Amino acid sequence: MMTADLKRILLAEDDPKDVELALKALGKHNLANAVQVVRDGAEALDYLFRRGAYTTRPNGPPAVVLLDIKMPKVDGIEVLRQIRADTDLCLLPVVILTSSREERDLLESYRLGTNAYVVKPVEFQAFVDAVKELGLFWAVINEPPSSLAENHGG
Amino acid sequence: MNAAISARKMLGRRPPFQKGVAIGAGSLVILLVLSAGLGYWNTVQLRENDAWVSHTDEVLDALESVLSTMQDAETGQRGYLITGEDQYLEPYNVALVAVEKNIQRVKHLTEDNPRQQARIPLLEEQISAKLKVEDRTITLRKKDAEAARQIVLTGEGKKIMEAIRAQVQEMQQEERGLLVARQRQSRHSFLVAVLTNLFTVVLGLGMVGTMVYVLQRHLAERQKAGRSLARLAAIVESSDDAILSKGLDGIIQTWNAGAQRLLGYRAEEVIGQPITLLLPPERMQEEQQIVDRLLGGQRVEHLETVRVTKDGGRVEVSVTVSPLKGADGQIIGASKIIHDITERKRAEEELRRLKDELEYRVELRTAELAASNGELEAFSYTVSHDLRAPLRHITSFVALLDEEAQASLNEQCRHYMQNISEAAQRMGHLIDDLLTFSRIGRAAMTVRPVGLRRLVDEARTELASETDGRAIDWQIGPLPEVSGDPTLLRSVMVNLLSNAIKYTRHRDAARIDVGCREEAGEVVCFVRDNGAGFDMKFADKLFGVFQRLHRAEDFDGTGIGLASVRRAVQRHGGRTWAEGELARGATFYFSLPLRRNGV
Repeated sequence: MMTADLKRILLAEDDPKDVELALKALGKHNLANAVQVVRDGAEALDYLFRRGAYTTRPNGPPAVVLLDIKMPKVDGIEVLRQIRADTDLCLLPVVILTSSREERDLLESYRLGTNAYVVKPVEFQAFVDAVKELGLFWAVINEPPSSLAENHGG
Repeated sequence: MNAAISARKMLGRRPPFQKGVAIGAGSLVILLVLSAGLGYWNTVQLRENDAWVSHTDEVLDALESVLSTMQDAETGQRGYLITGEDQYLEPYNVALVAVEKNIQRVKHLTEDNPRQQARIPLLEEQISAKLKVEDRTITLRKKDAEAARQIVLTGEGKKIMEAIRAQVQEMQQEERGLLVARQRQSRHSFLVAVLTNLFTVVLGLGMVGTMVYVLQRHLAERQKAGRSLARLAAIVESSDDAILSKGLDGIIQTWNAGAQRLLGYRAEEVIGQPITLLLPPERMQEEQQIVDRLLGGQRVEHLETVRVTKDGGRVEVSVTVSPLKGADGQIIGASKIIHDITERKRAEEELRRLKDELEYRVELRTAELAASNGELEAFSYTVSHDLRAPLRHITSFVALLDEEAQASLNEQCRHYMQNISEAAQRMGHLIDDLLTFSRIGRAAMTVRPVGLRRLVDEARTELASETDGRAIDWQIGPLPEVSGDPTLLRSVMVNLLSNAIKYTRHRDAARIDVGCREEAGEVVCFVRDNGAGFDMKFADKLFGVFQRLHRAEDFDGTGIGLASVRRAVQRHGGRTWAEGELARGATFYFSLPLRRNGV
């Protein structure tokens, strides 16, 4: 029961084409069914803090959050800031997945404590490989701190 | 200034000069007194010599008289003996008295000469013997004429008379010898007198000459000093600045025309007035401070302050005060040079205003630049984010289409899809390079010492994948340490070496030289290759954005590398240029200003 929750990937991405491509890439490795897609930063925060439409979602944080930076309403940087500011979610793995190679985005993201920063490759195969590796690494290989699930569950 | 120094020097020489004159005059007086004394002594000497000469004559005369009176006595005696008449006895008796007198005279005259004195007793003895013989014959003649004749015939009287004559002659000889000696002495004295006179006259003339010369020189110097003083006075009077002097009591003593122009008072109005007349009430304490500094032996230089003019106006001035010293070195007052700085103050104020204005403009311009920089950044950000996403979608969906429809598409369709994908990917590279280029122009610079040799080594390591399997003859010369941003300079080196590697690809024996030289305040570095080269006609296009001189099929690239190099070098205040020849190779140069303090 808890294990299933932990395998979930939260994908915050406003562009439907990027969502489609990401799901396609994850689907190639049977990770697609474990993906929860949110379309902007506000929705991402609602999901994480079980608010609004997500008040009744199952307990427990996702295994990893894949965050785009440029999103409507609340941008990825702000989502990251709120995750790190929260006592329960502060240890949650977050990967910035973005088109931006801008130095200031990189610096700001790392300063706020992102676990990784990945620039979406233009070439499709490279993109597929990158998303696959991210999914595999964070949802399957990486071992999260046990306190994360327990605290959040309470 | 020189005139002042020489005038002071000349006036300062006065006491020694006066001493010199006194010494000279004193010496002259002493010389004159000595000369007079010497002259007197010489005259006395001459007179004495003359006296001795006449004394000798007297002695000779006296001796002659002795002899002649003796002959007179003999003549009288003979006459009596022959005639027996008494009248002949009379001259005889007179001669007897005269003989005695003459002998006494000789005795007296030769008192100074012991040798003559020693001769006198013998002479007296001889005379008395002679007179005794004569007296006996005269006595005998009264009784017996023959007996007397017999005595005469013995010749005794004649013999004695000859002895007397010989004795007198000896004494005369002595006197004549003395006369010669005395005449010689007299000549000698005369010579000494003449020579000493001559000497003192020459010495005196020399001294007088020296004094006249010294006096004339002194007079000339005094005249020169006088002229210097007059010149100094003229300089002071014609100075644009106010020049005045005051005593220790603060009373104005001199006042030049410049002072009148600047402060309005005429000299006769203000001389004798206290200097505080010129001070504004709120600056009264300034005078005491100045005096305190002067008494401490210090000057007051360029004190910027305010003075009051005759009509009550204020004038901004720079005041320089120097102590005035008397002949004994004591401070007796002060000289003040007051320079009108109204104009300068106005210029300074104007300058300050202009500077403020300029600063304001710079601020404005900086703000504008910051704003436009911000826009540029937002633009790049948008490009980075939003332009890349559609490209990625194109390539991705083309790839997915290829996957799904591969079997149903013919060769032509697949070729089109290939073209779409390649075009999108190229667009991606262009955007990436453009962003890189833009970043080079915008990135904050951190200037620090950078070793160029290390940069070259790092760039070669970074480019190792491009040189795999190729034989390149690297010639790296000595490279200095320069001052710059390491990241930017590294991109410069990577771009230039990457170019050189790329364009020598078709050479069997590729050679790449890297070197540096210092010239005219900058470091000039170059990267030379023997690759494809370029036509110098297009040299100015090389460093432009997206400018390419080769077809993409021959050498890949976006044409942004050299533009980035130029941008990075320009940000260091340097220049870039290139030389090349088609199919022979190319040399790319960049210069960096030599490291300066604080840069």
